[in-house]
Amino acid sequence: MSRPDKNIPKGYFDNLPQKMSDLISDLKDDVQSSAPHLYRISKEKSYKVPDGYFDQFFNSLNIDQSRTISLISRFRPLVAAASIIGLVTLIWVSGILKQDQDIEMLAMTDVYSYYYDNIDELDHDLIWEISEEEGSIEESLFEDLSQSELDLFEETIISNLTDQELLDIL
Amino acid sequence: MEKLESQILQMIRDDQSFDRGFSMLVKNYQEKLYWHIRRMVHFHEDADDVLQNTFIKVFKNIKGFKGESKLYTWLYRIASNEAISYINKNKKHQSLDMESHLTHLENKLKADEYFNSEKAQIVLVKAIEHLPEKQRVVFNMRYYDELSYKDISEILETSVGALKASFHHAVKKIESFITQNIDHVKA
Repeated sequence: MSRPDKNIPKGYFDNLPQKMSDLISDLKDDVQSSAPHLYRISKEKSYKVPDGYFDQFFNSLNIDQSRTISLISRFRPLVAAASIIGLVTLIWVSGILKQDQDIEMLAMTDVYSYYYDNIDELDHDLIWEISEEEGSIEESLFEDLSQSELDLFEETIISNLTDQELLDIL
Repeated sequence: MEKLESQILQMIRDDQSFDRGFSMLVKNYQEKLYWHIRRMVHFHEDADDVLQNTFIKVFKNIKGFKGESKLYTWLYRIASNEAISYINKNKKHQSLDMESHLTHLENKLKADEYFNSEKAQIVLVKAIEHLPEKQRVVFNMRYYDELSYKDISEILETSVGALKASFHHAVKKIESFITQNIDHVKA
């Protein structure tokens, strides 16, 4: 069967099935013959855009807002650490509150209010300790944060806890 | 194209030139992505919303783009996903069957100042709308955007064989729909 006297390109027969398959499929793609009615309808855009839309599109993008969100996501590793701090602090808060009233009777708004009112009292050194233990958070991330950013960050964590989570902790 | 992509990516990777690089990216791909989205959502206001969401998502994730696929296939994937999410979100607010949906769409298109409401075009839009979601996306990418199967395969993470089958079925269904509505078509 072999025809050593005839030279063919290397790998010709290996590639032939794929080549034939592509050829057949391309023929099937021939909309003109397989779908003449579709082919008769113009492919020209039936949709239009307002004048100058593309010239102005970039300026209409709300990138500045995205930058803020992007900044927050940059600090996402901190959320994990700060969540732990949030939990620890909540337990501490619950300890204090239990001295005065039954925790089951405490309104959730009171818990949040207490937290926000005492945001300055949060132990930032503890954040450092946890970040060093975890080893996954760069110290520079903390250095970049202003006090107001750190406060905002901690408020966000508290807001993200559900009422049920708070109650479970307490 | 590839040279432009690598130039954009190089600029984006450098904080100093990030803004210029991102602006270049938007200006280069906005039209292609817009038309891709517009064919899926039909109306300019919706397409504008989805395009904005697409580029904001790109902005947030571009630094993590490793270049394992072509930039424009990555952009198309985000745009397709955003458009599909948008459509599905809007579907939840409507509980119309297909016939009512198509009638509603036709009426809206006829009233839309940014649509050329020739009957043939409306029949074609309805024929495409009639397709299952995946076939619709494949048909639009292949027929209108004229993307290669290899690129569509990268965008939709589907085998080339399956895409060819999808396109083939889509064309057959569209042709059949148009044939049934042939009286209305004066191309």
